[in-house]
Amino acid sequence: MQLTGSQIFCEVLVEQGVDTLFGYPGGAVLNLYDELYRYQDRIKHVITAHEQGAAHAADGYARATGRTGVVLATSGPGATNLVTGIATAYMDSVPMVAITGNVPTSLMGQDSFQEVYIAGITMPITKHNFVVYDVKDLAATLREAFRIAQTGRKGPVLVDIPKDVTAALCEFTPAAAPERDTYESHIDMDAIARAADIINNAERPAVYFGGGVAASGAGEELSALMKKACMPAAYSLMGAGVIHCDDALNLGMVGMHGCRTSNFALDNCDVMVAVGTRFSDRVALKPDAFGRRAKLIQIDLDASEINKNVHVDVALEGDVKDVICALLPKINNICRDEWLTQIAEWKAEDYQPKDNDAVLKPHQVIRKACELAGEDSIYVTDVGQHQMWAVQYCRHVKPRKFLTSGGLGTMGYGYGAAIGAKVAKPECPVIHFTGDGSFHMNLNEACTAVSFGLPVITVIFDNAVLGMVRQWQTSFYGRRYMATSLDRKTDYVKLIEAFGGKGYSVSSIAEFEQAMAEALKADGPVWIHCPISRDEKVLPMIPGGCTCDSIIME
Amino acid sequence: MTKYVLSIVVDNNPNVMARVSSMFARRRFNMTSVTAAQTSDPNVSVITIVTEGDAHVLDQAIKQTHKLQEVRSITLLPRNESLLCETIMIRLAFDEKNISLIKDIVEVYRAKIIDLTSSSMVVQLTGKPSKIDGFLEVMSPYHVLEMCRSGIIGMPRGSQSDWWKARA
Repeated sequence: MQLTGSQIFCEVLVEQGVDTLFGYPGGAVLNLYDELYRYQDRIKHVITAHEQGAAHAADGYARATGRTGVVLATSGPGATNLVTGIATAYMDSVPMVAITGNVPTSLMGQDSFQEVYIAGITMPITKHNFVVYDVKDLAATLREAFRIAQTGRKGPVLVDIPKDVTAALCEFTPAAAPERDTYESHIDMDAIARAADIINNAERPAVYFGGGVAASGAGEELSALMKKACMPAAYSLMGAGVIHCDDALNLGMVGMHGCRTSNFALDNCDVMVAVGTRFSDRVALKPDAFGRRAKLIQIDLDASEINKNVHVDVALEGDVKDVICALLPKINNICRDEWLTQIAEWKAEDYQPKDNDAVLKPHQVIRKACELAGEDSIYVTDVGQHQMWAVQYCRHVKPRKFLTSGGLGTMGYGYGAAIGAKVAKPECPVIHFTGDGSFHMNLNEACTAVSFGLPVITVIFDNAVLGMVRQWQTSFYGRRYMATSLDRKTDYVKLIEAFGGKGYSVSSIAEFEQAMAEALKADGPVWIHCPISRDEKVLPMIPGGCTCDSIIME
Repeated sequence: MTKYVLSIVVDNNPNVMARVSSMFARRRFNMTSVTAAQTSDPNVSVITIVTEGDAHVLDQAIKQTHKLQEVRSITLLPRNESLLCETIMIRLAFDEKNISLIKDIVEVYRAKIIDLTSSSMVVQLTGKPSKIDGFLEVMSPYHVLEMCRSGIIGMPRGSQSDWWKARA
């Protein structure tokens, strides 16, 4: 069957199970869009305000569903606008396929109009990338791109397609839908036995887990391991929601803004089992002292993560679920009452923010939002203080419900990602927490939410400053507030109304409750403007390079 | 800091060298020398990198390289047990007083004079790294005008001779 490159492109997307494309058209992708016109019944196309928003939307779609997100952009500036979105997905191991058009092969390398060498630009922020110079390679390349993106440790893959390739004819052989992840664990049973022995002989074992557990879908298995070995667990930002927040063994987030109990537990444990996590500098704040009293066991499917930042005693390489399933039968059922008593003592001394009914307090707003939105809701954040408050005070009950840019820390991630999540999961309320700093980066995506009738609720914590940077200026730079006092005059209610959505501005928790209740009934985007004090801090905090001995509680 | 020789078997695609060197650069792995060329199998190239670092850096360099999609295998070539060689060319200025001394050294090392003018010559030498180092040391008192070296290439000895054909 002779098809054009554009037809092959659409056929392979359908074959790969792609139902949604986030994108933005342009000259180099006109042929692709012309073919997508004929595939509208099978592939929904969501046009955003900016390609960055489309990339974040594909990322949000992927994080909310576990399926590969797909973004399409034109050559040159279309392609470069994807860069932050691709890097965000790369740092958090999110499966994504980014397709870019490029100038015709005859014009490549000539500094042609809207030409950029996006393969070179994205080399360090993709798992792999391709330039398709010949239509004969197109189908195989696209299939390979999906395979790489969703196999093993997931991540973004970029395919750059010159315009003439999208028009050229080629024989096409349809293929069956692929197996999603072809990764196979090869488990070292000797290492499993050594790890089990260490855990069984521990007095104060603890788990430190991260996003790898969600990627593997191993929350239940991890919970079973924690229960059997009586191991409390602390999680990285990416691990929020993997274990139910009501699970008594789930201590909360660890790291720079993690809770005191989690940080103390990992600092005092005699065995630490790190599961699907990478000892980042926001958790292992002082790598040499991280888990300083413990034997370390690391479970990860990426061999390069083992011993990368912190040296471990036993490495268990493989898919997290497979490894835990191999480990679990060798673990003894043990009660460790003394250790749990110690944990309970720490818990009693955890940081507790004080309620206030006269002014808005971030923790009250977040808790109220969760209470009203219910357990099916998806929470999306931008980056900064509000992000930390969100992870600290949201009720994390299920995986894939808390979407945040952890590794790259991308301000402006949230609105695009929330739109992607809402497109993927229209039945779930989607709550986007943001700050006035982050939100101004990409609030233009309000037009996308309005056009597609996406009832994404945006809660804007407006302290009129860049709060997280300002907090550092307060604590470590002698209150010299350079470039952090924004004091913007944006009228958020008028602005969202101008976009065609609904806005509220509230000044007490009672007003917020009312606005939130109405927002949950809306059929389009709603912004709730929440002015807060510019002196609100994220607490507790452990400064970088320190241990939990230096924890700041007030 | 130890020097390590890494033999990386890759798909012979455009960009593969850029991918490897980009990763080395961004992770701050040292590259003392690098060579890359197609093998007898047109689909396969071998990249040989000499890198410097401690055992932890070496472990990371190997694992991170292995993760690249177009890398088929990566092998550490132990310096004493592997077949390693390098080619150098040096341009030397000479005069009547030292030309015979230089010629003697060239002969001892079985190097070749591949270009000659009235006042300078280019000497080419191929050999294992220790031989090259020795030669350069012996030549150092003379007037070296220019030099370039190919970087090390290497292979395992003996029965591992088809190491690059197997997909790791």
